[in-house]
Amino acid sequence: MNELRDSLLLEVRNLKKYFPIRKGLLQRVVGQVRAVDDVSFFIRQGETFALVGESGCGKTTVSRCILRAVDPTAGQILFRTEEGRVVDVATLPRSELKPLRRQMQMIFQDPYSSLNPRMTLLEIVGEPLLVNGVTDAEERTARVAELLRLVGLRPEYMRRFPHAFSGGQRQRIGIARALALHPRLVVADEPVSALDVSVQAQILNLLLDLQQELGLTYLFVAHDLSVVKHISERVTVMYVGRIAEVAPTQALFYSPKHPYTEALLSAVPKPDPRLRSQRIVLEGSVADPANPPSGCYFHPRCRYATDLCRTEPPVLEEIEADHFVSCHRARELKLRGVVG
Amino acid sequence: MNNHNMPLLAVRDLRTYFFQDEGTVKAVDGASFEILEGQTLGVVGESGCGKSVTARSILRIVEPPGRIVAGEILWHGADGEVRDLVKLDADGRVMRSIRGREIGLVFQEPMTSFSPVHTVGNQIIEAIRLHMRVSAAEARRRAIEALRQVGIPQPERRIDDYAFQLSGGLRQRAMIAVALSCDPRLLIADEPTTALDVTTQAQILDLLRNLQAQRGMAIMLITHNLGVVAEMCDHVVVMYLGQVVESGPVDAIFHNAKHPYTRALLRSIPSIESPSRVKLHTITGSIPHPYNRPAGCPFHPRCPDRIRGVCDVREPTLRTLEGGQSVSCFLYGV
Repeated sequence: MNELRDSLLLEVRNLKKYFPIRKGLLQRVVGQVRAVDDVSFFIRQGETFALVGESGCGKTTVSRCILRAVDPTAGQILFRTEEGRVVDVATLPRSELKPLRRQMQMIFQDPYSSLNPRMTLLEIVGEPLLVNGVTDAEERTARVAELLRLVGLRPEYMRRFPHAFSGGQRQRIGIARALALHPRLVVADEPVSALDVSVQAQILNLLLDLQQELGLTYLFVAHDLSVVKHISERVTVMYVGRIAEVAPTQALFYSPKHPYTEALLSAVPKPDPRLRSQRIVLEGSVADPANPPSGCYFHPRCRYATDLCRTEPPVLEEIEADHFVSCHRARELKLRGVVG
Repeated sequence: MNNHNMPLLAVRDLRTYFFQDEGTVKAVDGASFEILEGQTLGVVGESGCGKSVTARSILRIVEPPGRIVAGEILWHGADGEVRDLVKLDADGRVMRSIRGREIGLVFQEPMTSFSPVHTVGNQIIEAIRLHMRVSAAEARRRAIEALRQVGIPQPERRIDDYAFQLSGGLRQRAMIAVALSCDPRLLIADEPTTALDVTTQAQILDLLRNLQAQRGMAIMLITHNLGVVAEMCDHVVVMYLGQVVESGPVDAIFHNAKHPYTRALLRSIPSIESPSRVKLHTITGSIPHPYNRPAGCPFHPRCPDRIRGVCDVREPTLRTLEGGQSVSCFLYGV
């Protein structure tokens, strides 16, 4: 059952996470928000895998399920541990989660609210070490100094508080904390979206450097397609809790196979006035995950939709090597990717 | 006196300072630019560059301890008169007739800009009745029309919704409806799409472009997103630490940038067109804290091309180059 191909670090199988909608005095369940609805993908060891989609598409819920910050409703999350065992994170008892959490760490979006303002850098970065048994203060200080150097901060500053640092520096502190326990998987949820452009580039470069140096695997959750294209090797596009398309970065951006991916790519404003494009402007708004449309969830906004799309939900199929698409017309449509 | 060469708005050497206990923050420190009738001006820069304070200065809604200490904001009014908004009483009759009526404003955060205890419709009607002598019924009709124009479905029903009942995209549309309800000649949009998803952003940008084509209004678009600037603007002003470091036609800014900051900014953004997983160019260091502004050119500590003994001592001024481009940098003449 719990088998994982050799090259894989993580495999998500048929993951579902439903949130109940309660109403009335008795808080009876009157419906469900299908935040994540039957999602399957895998992450190879050492790669950067990105989840993209618009707000409410379920990308953050997927990452929270992987970290078991929320309990999934159904499905498997197979993870290869340091010792080479394969465990199902989705059903693991709470008592066995703690050693596992050391191997999966998180980088947060907002570098202002994710650091405790009353703790020094030494305490912030040293806390995961302390919790996991590095009780010797000297050893901890040495390790924190090493981590700060690794992310490009001066170890001399370790007795200062977060308010003394800029947004970019704070994000470096968050990265140092995430790396303190040598994780195998780093989940980065919108790690640069709160930063200024010039600082964003510094952090993206740092993430690439650290990956090479430490052999990290990244799950990168983001909505900015330019950033995702820059950092990731494979990309998953989600729409209303389901996967629309999974493909290697080049294939996804230059020859997308799902109409939603095509529309997303064309909607990104290009930083060149000579490329003012004929954008595909999607009509209407994202479907409500508590009350999704019939058939393919994207059909009300899709310009290629047929009768089949209105009635029959498509399944995720591998239509080229490593290129998975959930669209009835994926094989016949000629879609426009990014030019250049 | 109505010709197209006359700028609709001219900002000259504007300085807006905030006087705080810890020291003076020079949020805008000598900014100059113009907005022409019917055109879109993009104001770009990173946080703390003074782009939002510039907008608030134009509308005279800078909050204490902030104050305009010098400069001129020349507004070419609908009546043909040119007024210096700096000299007007911020709460006076003339300024109130310009703010909201002739110059509309769209804020970044549509959730916090609407009152949560009044319906969206009532807030639009309030704006209309404040500026125009119309009956309540007529104002309501105009409000519904404004909502329809910005593409809100079923405006007759939506007008009685509260802001929290609308999605992010609809809320931003409603915000634009408020700003447009009095048919302004200049729309100031401060990061109008920053909180939105890309597909919604594309809808809002299209909407702004169409409304501009219909009404011929000018737009001052404040953003940090260079992609949005490239898509929307005719002219661009690049700001850094309260000063305009470069301005010019959009094509010149993106293809022939002069100022080292503009060039570095353009190189440092990951583009959907550029190759994956290569090192991005970065600007070394970070934006200085407003209390510790560097002497000389504000960008010199981070500038790869700085001239020792010049850039760290003297302040450059904005000089005009050919093709309508201006740059504030000693590399182009001392």
